[in-house]
Amino acid sequence: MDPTLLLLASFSILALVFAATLFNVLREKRALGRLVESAVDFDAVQDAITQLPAPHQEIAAQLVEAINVRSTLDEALTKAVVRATNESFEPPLARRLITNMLLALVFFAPISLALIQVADRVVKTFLAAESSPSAQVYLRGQSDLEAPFSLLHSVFFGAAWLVAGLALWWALRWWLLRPEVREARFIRALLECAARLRPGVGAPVSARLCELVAPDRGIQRPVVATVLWFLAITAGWGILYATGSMRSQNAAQTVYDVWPKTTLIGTTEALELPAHAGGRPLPTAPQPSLFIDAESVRLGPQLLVQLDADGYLPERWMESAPDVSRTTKGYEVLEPLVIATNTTRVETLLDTLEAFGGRYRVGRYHLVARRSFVLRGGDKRVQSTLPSRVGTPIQAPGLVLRVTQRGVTIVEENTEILFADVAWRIRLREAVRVRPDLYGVEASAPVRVQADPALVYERLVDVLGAADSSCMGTVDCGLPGLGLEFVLQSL
Amino acid sequence: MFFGHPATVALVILSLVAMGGVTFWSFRRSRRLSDKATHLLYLALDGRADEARIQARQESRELRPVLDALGGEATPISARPLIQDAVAVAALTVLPMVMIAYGFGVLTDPESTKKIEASTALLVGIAVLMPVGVAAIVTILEMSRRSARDIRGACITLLARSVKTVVETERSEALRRGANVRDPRGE
Repeated sequence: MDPTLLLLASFSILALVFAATLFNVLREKRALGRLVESAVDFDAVQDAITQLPAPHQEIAAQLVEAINVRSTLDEALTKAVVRATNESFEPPLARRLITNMLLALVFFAPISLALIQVADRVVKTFLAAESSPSAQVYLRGQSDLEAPFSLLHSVFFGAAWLVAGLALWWALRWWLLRPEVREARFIRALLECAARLRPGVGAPVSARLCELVAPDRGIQRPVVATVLWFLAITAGWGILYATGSMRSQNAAQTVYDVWPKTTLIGTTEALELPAHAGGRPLPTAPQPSLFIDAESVRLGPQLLVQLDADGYLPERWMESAPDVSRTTKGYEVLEPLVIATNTTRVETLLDTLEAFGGRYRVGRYHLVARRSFVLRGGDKRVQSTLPSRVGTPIQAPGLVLRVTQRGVTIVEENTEILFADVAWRIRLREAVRVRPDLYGVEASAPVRVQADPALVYERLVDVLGAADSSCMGTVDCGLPGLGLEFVLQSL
Repeated sequence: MFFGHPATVALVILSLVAMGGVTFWSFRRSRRLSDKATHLLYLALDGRADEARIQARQESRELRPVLDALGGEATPISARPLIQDAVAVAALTVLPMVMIAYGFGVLTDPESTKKIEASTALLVGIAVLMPVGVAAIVTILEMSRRSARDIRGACITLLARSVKTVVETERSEALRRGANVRDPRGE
């Protein structure tokens, strides 16, 4: 069942009870007015009495009868007043209690139903997440829980209006239909009726009694109500003020601290790592580090080649490069960490990786980048890696991205996402997110990236990170990426 | 499918039992007050006003208006104290508040299963307790209002007799002093 429909039904019931309250008040006022107007002859009064609501009829009939038979007006009026004050002017207690309980249940049913649906969804998501790969837990949880929580939010919002409507209805009922008000209205009509039927006759006892029974019109109650009102407003303001920071945090995009405690790879001033919002934690097994800065390519401290002034590799550089077999020996699978500076040309990067990989049988590379996100305790700095191979993919690619100076083209869809578009990262992320074959537990298809050789490394990593990111918003949420595998090629 | 944190579920059940208990206690109390007010009224109308006064004096403060009315003074009816109703309503909210506070405390537990159990128990607990609590509060207030009206009715019945006595006394006094008082009974 949809809680929104229940909410609409509750609003309809509220409108009905509003209308019923106003209708009852108007009907009673009209009937009492008719009773007073008709109090010039007894037959007309008898007629008017039959139009009165049920609780009033008998009392009014007895009063008119007593006046008709010329008994003492004062005594008859006193009896009528006493009987009116003993009348409940409401349905029987049991019926009223059942009605009130049903109304309370009906008006809170939308909230209750939405809460139960959210609880159900939380459990189902938790059970599903237990059997999901870690990269999918956040995405799955978010997509599963977002809709029920949004519904809960809107139902609570609607329920707030409903409660405001209920308060208004309660106030209206209290003002116009509470037993004391109905009693006062009825007694007034009886007094006016008696005065018209027996003009000029005094009724000191009933007059004094009515004076004592009349509601208190002193200033004490309004003053107390005003003070309570201001106290309630102050308390509400106080609660809002005290919870301001919490609500502000709730409105902010969530940032997660889920990264393992690892030592960051040290870089120099000449080597500035690119940043993005994707990637996975650094591999736990030690791997050699391939440094590419503006001037040279090194494996650890060992210089492999000096780059020219424009940042390009010399011809046949690998032939003259020192043999680093001893350095790379001892690793079961050689998967070097690539620590390249922002300004490295993609051509230089790909040539280096291709030549190095060809000579030393590298399985894949881990492109190291930095993640920087703001946690409650301050900035959090971690390093993430994007697993990438170079050259022709072993398996058929699941997705082909073509990266140029202008933007990224999703080849299968022939869609170009321009870097000029401020939401290009979100658009690229959404294009990848709909392809669970790229990042699910059974995922085996890599993403082939054909990059313009003239691009700089910073742009390439930005594209790879945007495709891999798990974050939904525009800020770095701190979560590891989807775990995409990339195959890099030159255009 | 739900599974709940045992302590939170126990608190929800305790809250429901407490709500039922407080509502029943309030119902019994309201009925007793109404019955007692009617009984005192019948005693007084039966000519045993002194006995009614003695009994009213032994009752709780909520029957003080009846005692005042039995005193025979023609004064406005004093307001009935609402402290017991306020206490009953406050008592209804204590256990749900404890349940919410405890549930939020468990939510900080590092174990994810406990977090899920506590959050679902909290959500379902609030879903159940909110309408039931409001229904219980409305019921308590309604019964309290009804008994207050019964007490007021009894007081006014007694007050009518007092007023009649006072008016007749005043009229007799005025006639005795020779003042020009019109006797409405002669009309």
